Amino acid sequence: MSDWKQELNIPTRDTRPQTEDVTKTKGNSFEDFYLKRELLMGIFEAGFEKPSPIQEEAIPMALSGRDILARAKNGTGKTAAFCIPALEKVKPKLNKIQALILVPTRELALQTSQVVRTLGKHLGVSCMVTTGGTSLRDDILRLNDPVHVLVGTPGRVLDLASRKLADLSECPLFIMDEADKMLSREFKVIIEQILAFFPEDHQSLLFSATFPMAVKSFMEQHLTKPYEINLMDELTLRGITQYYAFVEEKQKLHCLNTLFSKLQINQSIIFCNSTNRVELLAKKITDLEYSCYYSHAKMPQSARNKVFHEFRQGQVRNLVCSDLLTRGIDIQAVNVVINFDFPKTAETYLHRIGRSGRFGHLGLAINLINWNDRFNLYKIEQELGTEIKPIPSSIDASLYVAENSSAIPTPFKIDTLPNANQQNNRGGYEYKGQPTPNDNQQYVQLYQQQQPQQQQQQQPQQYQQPPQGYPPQGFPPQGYQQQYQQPPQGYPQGFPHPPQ
Amino acid sequence: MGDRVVFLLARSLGSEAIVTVTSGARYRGVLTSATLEENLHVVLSYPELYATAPGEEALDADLPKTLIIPNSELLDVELLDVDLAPKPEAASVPEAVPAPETAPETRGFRTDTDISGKQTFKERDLQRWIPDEGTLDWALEDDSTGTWDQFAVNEKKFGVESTYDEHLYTTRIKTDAPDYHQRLRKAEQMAREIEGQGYNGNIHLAEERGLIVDDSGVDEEDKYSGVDRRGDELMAALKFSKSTSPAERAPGKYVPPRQRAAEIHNDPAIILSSGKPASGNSGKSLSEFKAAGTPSALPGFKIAGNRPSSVPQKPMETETKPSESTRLNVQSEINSLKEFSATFKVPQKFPEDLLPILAKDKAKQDEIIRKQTDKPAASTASEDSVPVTSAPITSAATSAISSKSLAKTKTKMDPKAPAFKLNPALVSFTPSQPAVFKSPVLMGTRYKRYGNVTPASFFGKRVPTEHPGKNIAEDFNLFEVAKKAQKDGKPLFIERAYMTPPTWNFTVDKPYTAVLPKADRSMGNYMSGAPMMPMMPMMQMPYDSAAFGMPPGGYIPAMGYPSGGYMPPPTPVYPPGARGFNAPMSPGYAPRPPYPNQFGSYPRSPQPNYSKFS
Repeated sequence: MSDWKQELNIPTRDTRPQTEDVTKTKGNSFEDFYLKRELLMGIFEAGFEKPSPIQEEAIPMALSGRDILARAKNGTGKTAAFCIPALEKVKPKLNKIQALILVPTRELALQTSQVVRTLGKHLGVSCMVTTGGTSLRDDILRLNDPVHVLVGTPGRVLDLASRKLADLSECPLFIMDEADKMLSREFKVIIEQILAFFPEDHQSLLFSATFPMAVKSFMEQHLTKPYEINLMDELTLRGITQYYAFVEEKQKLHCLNTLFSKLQINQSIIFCNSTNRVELLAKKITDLEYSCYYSHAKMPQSARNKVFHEFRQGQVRNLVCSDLLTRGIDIQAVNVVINFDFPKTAETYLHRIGRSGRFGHLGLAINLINWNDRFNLYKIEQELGTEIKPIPSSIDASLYVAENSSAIPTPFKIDTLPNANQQNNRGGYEYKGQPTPNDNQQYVQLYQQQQPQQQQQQQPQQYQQPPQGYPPQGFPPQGYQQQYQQPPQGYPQGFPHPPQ
Repeated sequence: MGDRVVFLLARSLGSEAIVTVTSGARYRGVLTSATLEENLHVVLSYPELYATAPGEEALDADLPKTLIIPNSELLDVELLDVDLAPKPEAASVPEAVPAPETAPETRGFRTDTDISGKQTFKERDLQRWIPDEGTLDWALEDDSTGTWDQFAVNEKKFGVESTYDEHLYTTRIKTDAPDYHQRLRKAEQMAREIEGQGYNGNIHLAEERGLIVDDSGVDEEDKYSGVDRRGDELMAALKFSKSTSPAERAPGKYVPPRQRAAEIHNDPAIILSSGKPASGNSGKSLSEFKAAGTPSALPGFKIAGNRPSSVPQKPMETETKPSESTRLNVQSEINSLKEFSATFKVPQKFPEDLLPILAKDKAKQDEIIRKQTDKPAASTASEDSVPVTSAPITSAATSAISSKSLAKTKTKMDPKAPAFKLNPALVSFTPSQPAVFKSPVLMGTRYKRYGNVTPASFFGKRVPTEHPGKNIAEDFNLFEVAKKAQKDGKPLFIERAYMTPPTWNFTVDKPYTAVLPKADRSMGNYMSGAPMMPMMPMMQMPYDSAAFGMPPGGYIPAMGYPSGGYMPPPTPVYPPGARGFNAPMSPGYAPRPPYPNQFGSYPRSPQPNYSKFS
């Protein structure tokens, strides 16, 4: 009966080591949740093997219909934790919006939609993104056709809902990712207006890694007996090593260049505090002959989308951005985050450094601190309960470099993309790449050689490999027996009559 | 004694049981002990007579405290309220784990600082980073070359090309729909309306509508990442603002008219309601803030980071002291709320039965309706065109109350209020003014109400909309549909209801072409063209697919069962029609071999072939 698993198109297994943040589970499998087979197929084909702790907690509870307020660390699988129950509950034949997922930024909306579409690939569920910056007319046209899952940013969703263009009157599921930001004052007014269009008995799922403030009033007003999940007994991820480099403002670029030349960067994200600095820094980095894109909210959305997509696909190695991409953005290959400018708030810091070390993998966070930032550094250390150490002269590669980075997943398989053929012909990066670790002689790099791992990463992966790492499982799933001491069938129906 | 009985008895000790003894009497008590030997003997504590033996009188005899019932007396034990759920290990060790350790985690919601545990990190000397060789002071802002094309540069230098396609993320617009151009026009118009709306001072709303607003002072951290720590404490902030006396403010600093009034009144309620902006519209006052160079007037702004260098730095002072800009934020939020309440329109039609309440004569009612329909057009204009104050009602001479309520309905809908719901009590509404009854118009309206049941009054909030392409009389009639689908010269094809098997291998419908290979798809031709053959089954279901029609994990004989295990009699899960499969159906119908060989042993006849399993 389990032959459907043989036909799955499972990607190459990502063998990088993982920390307890994602491995400390109860040992359930996805089959234990009794999901639709098509959904299971989508889950396995996305490369998921076992549920992460937050997924183990949230999926059954969400399926049972309760409101959820959950917090789990960055990159531990929250998105799938709400996408999977949403997809399980959506009825593809019903031509209604059946789940609304609200996120704070447009890029995150794109990413969430891509997750929904990947997991729901075999379900026939249509998932639409609606955010500002895109043609409102097109979104209105899209809503003429069936849409089951709507992912969007609050402003646009409110505009569509208040005009009845997006009919939420029978939408049973309301989901908010990055819930603490969404309940921050300026978003909250919009959220509450959107909630007015929902039916009385809708279910709400709220997820975030940070809750700097209690969201008590919202909970009391809009959630019914929310099931609270808190899987955090510390705030920072275990796999991330944090350092500061105390520099003068004028030294920052010099310092960054040294980092580039010393570190083994798979992909990096560099945060600046203003849009102007983002553009200038990105320019400087390309001048140093490193490929680099930049993104901030003042750019046209089409450019933002393109940057986001290409960086996720691993086409460019470095990304300079503002806090636009601080929350939720999931790029598995990022192993270094650099705070070129130090953030103001603890949650921003936490989300920024959480761009590396995704899904329990290893990562490095380096903060360039100037004289004015030092109080902020203490404050954030205190709020997070973590100490940031000074950067050593050499950083042990085992702290953040994976031995095998060939199977790091990208959101889209390279051969499914429109320009795939050209990509294949090129066979990898043509650009000069990151310098080798031991070389830091000058600012203009002249390296033509490529690191071997770069090439491997870009080669189209072998997707036809037989699934590995799965115990052969049929119905009933094997985990079943462990969970219940009694076998499922054969309960004594009445009390056995004793022999007379 | 079987393991399960042992388990059951172990679990049921301490729970109530009803024991029937050989005399027929039944005793109810707490099961305190049971032997686990070959024969079952039980001990009941605190027994009471549950039912007397048939034919015997009820005895009030005192029962002993414990009742030992030997196996020879025992007929039946009925266990009540047994909890068979697996228990966690800890539960079996009573009071072993002290609770306090875990208590704080379960004590409701925990914020970030609750989790981090409030460790104190003192200021310390930071270790300065020393460059390896040379010093190159190269600040970012040194050469501001302006914007550059990142895509062109990266493509030229590194060969980065784009693979982005929005359809990887969102749905595709169907441009081939028959009414596409009509839809397009309508969507364009709607989009223009929405984008022309006021944004109520909310920078996120403005951003999503593509408006360019002055958000200097609000950086992207405030917008997309940081959480505004002030929360909902709007009123608290207002109360704080009391203490900020005019003397404390910097002289010459712009004070909006609202705050000028607020200085005189200390009551927050008065501050809230004190006067409208001098210009009479809130949008203007917002721009006045900007003009005055106080970007903090926009919500979401935080003062930190924008300090002039001349002001000495006081660490952490922003959180302790309420400041002018905090209050400006609050005020601008109030402004935006007021504006919202002024421009908000409930997206539903004006209920007719409210008309007689709001206006007495016909002319006024018409005016209300007209205004209602005119409103959408008006609201697309800029925010300035919608006055905050009530619109003037030209034809006066109604009572003050009614005109006031009319104006209220038109301009000040409560944004929080749900869509209007019909109040059944309105049917029996009798206005207190006797004059109302003399109005023939009103009488007419009243009768009309009784006669006309609107869809809204029947369905409530969810009025079903008529599907344009569907005709209830025809489109759901099996025969009509079949007749419509019939092609010239082809026989009539009528689908039987039982063609849908009880369970599916897939929960999502596949197209029939995926289920039926093209070579097999010829059954329709077997049907004669007679229109009166609704009973003719079209048996072309893919029973040759092994699992089809079977529940997942169901009884597939080929799979086999663990030998010696529990073997339920395999109930055929075929649809009823399957039995008649072999019968000749119509002249010219050649029965195909119905089942593949692997089903040969499947019990279809009254003599099932169980030999394989026993």
